[in-house]
Amino acid sequence: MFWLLPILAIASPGSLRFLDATREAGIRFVHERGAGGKKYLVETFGGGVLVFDYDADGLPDLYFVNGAPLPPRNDPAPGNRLYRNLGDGTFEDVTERAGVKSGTYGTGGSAADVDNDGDEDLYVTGFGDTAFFRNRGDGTFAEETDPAGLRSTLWSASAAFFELDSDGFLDLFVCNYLDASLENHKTCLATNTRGERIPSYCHPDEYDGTPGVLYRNRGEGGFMDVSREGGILFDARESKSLGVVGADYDGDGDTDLYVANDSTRNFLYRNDGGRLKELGLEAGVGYNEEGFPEAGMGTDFGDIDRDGWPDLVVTNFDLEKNTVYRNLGGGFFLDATAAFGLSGASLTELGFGAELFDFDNDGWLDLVVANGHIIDNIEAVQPSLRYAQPMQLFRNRGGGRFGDESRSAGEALQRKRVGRGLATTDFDRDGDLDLVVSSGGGPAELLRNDGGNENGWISLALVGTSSNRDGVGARVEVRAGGSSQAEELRTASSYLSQSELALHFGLGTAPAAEQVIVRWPSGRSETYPGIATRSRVSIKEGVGVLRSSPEVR
Amino acid sequence: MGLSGALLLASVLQDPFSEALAEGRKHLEEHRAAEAEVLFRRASELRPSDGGARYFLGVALLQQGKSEDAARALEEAKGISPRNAAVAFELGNAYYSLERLDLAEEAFLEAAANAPSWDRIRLRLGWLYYSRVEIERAAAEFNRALGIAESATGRYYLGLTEAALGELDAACRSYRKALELDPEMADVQVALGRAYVRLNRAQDAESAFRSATALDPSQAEAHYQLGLLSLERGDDDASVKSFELALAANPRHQSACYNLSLLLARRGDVERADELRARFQEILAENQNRARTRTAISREPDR
Repeated sequence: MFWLLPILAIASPGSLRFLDATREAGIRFVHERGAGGKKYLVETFGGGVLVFDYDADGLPDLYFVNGAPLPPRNDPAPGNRLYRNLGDGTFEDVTERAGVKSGTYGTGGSAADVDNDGDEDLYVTGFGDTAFFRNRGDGTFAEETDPAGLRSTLWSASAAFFELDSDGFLDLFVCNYLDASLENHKTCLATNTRGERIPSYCHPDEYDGTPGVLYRNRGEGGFMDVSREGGILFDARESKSLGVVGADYDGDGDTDLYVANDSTRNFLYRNDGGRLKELGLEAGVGYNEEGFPEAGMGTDFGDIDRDGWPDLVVTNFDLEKNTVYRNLGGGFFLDATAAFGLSGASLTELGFGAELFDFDNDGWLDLVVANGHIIDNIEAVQPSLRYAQPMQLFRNRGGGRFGDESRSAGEALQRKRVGRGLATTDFDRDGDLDLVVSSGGGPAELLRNDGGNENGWISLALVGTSSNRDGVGARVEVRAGGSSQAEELRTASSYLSQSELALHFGLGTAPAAEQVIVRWPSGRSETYPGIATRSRVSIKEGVGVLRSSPEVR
Repeated sequence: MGLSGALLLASVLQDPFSEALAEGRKHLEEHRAAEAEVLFRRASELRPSDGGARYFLGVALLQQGKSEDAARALEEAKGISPRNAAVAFELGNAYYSLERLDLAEEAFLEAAANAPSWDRIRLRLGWLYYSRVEIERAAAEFNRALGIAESATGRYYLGLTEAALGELDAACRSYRKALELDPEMADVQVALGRAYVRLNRAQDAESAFRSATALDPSQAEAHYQLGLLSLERGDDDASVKSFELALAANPRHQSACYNLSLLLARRGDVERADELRARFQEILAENQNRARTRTAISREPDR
């Protein structure tokens, strides 16, 4: 009777590896944190990774945001770097040609088609400056920060293009961190193991925070600061924002925002018809399980338990947990870190970038975290901690319980780095999601997923017509093999970063997605039948499947 | 009473300084610190060069929470008896309660140097490091204390440091050893339960928390933790009961207040949820300093 049993092609976790493909891919980016001995807090920040298709050739390109030398140093700023995906597993540095270098101290950003002209524009956050690059559609960008109304001299961190008011043009939320600059710099002291006081970086409590900024896209190419009327909290004590991610957490059809704050409560902005209302405390995501604020860094939404509601993960400081909140529906969350099996897994690590992604294509969202301490001499203060730390990979074993696969997923993840930005992309188009990670003051890395494509998958790119052209904010439900899973297309997530603007669904052994239901930001809902496994598909709002490219491994 | 005792009593009765000192110590032993303070002040005035009177005055003041005055008296005692370990120890305690941790550390180290076999000093020093989140230094002191003398408190504290370092199995062993030495320590049962929670051993955790509430029904933290376990099981009714018990035991229990407010909001009891949320925010503001996450790293800005 054995022949009646289904032949399972589910890859065992032990056969999956993330391999370091940085060198062979031609990525040579090294982050400059600017350290010159003064212990400016921004030196701890790191830089983001943005994955977007700048030349509209269907391949994800990589943009690394860089810091700059800080006083007393006065050497030139290395600038941000844009790497074009050549489609053969390698990249070409096209920064100068594209005109997106920037020379200031950059931190993160977001990329999206803000003018709906068919190409991706770029917004870069920073320490004391920001930049907006409008894509000309010919592989070059025009720097239009002031004309677009997006100049800021604050210390900005993560940013997210999202649909605030369902007008078909993407709006922008920018996290601001502290009211700290070179002028009001403070040096703090820590006690080392010999009892000596040594210079160190200050706790964020030493500075006021800075409220985030909400920009409404006016549609004719510019943005308008609508923070006050848009419902942004103006509490300098509370607003020390690092990470932001959008999702329709309450299922009412619009995009809400979650903002991770450092050592103060986190914000959940519910979108009420284009006006945001902060409800973090009421919804149960402002604090951890014990009712204490944590040092929120990176964040992501994803339906971990596949109940149809987006759950939430936030990375935090060492001696804190990476908190996972289960979305209970009805606008409520529950800190379910322990129930998800993650309560003891992250206490000695300091988490920054975090992504929920299905690395083994089994249909369940897994979690990857980039770790690294902020204190570059932490070993002298707390010998059990390390400045450079390994990444962590938690495999969702189904039903929303994670197991730690960090050690079995290859040496590259175990390598110690000062992890900061983190993004996912299928850069080599082999059907499994790879990782791009940035390191504070160190080299960026491209970690190729080898073996994740043993299971089937589909990848969906969206083209909005009534909705914004990227389809950002669309919710896609995929029914396959007798079960369903749903995800939303978003720009920013993680820490200072943005993953590829496509929805990737693992299908396990199912031969096809029997049904794909897209709820567009415009409110239109469309159902598409029968998309074969191992297909990369573009879906255009109101039109249907534009291109279906079954791929053979 | 023998002859020597009678002579001693006679001499005490004849000496106002000794009489005040002896009477003061009696009050102190019987937890009447205010009365003791009056007598020790009298003794100090009668014999200004006596370090003992000032030492006991410091202890009496400390017991009443008058830490500034206590530190002053103990500094004076230390000036008279610079190598007295007990004086340095209590001076450390006074500075600790004033949150002047560097001075407290200095005093404890002096006390330890003068009384190397006194484990209690090492425990206090370790606790100081633990509260500064200098976990390794804390663990080293607790191990030193345990090297001097085995104690339930030492094992408990060591377990706390092991748990903070993520060494949960070791922490459980330390807590269990502490309970072998003193089965009545409800706090240790709570700590053991929390370690079990982090090890995903929910049944063991529940058993530990229930032991804690059996030992001490007013153990708010144990009730709260039982509420969390019920919450994870989806037993909301049991959670509400446990959180209510926690708040009955300690109306300012921040975590119980927070979780009960969320749970009641989900169950539609909006009015009570709002009331508890307001209380939670009050408590949070009170505890703001304790909620800081990185005190070990960046104190004392050098402006």
